[in-house]
Amino acid sequence: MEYSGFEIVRNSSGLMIKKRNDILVESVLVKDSSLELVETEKDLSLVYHNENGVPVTIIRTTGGLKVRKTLVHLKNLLSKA
Amino acid sequence: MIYDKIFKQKERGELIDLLSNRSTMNFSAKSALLDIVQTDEFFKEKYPDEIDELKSEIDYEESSIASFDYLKYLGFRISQIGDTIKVTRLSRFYLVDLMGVLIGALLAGVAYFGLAEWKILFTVGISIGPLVISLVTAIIALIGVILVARCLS
Repeated sequence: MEYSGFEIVRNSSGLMIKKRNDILVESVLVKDSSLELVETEKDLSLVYHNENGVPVTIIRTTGGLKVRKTLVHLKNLLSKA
Repeated sequence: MIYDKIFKQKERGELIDLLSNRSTMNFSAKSALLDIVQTDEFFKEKYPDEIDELKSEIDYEESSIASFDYLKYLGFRISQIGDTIKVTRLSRFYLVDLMGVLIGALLAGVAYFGLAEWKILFTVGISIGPLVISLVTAIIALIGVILVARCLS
């Protein structure tokens, strides 16, 4: 499991992700539509696309079905809230 | 799914064994087994109770997924107050990261002890002792750097 997001807050102002930028921590306001799940043969990642359209991984897991489904639920919750 | 393929190749007797040992199976295997037995008339007639139990076990795990019980395995916790949803890193995972960085930095620091040996190699010439020590310290330091990088990535 890898991650770069320390804290994800979803409220009426939008979706705020506090994430690691190298060794510093920064907060980023993320568009709902930029949140996405990316699946490969090995892993499943929750990513957002930054202002340049580059995908940034928030949480990545190589875990089993339960953990992957949890990540799908999380993405749906954060997107629709 | 890998279990679908495996279970489709099983004989009926083997599937009966699997159905009776379902409690030892993981979630993916249970789901794949349910897909097979609930569409097979033989199982529906002979083992309706087992199928119901399997269904309820899967439903229970599905409800745990929906209530984010397994988010802890990703190192996060979720809290919902009003219309605010907050997902935060579990503190014990911070500690693991911190330990990883510290141990990685210590291992990387081993490179310092290999510097003198590298100096000998380049000034005096190659000899077994300094060569082994310099390579071992370099490998340990590399492991340390990788550990730090992984903990910070």
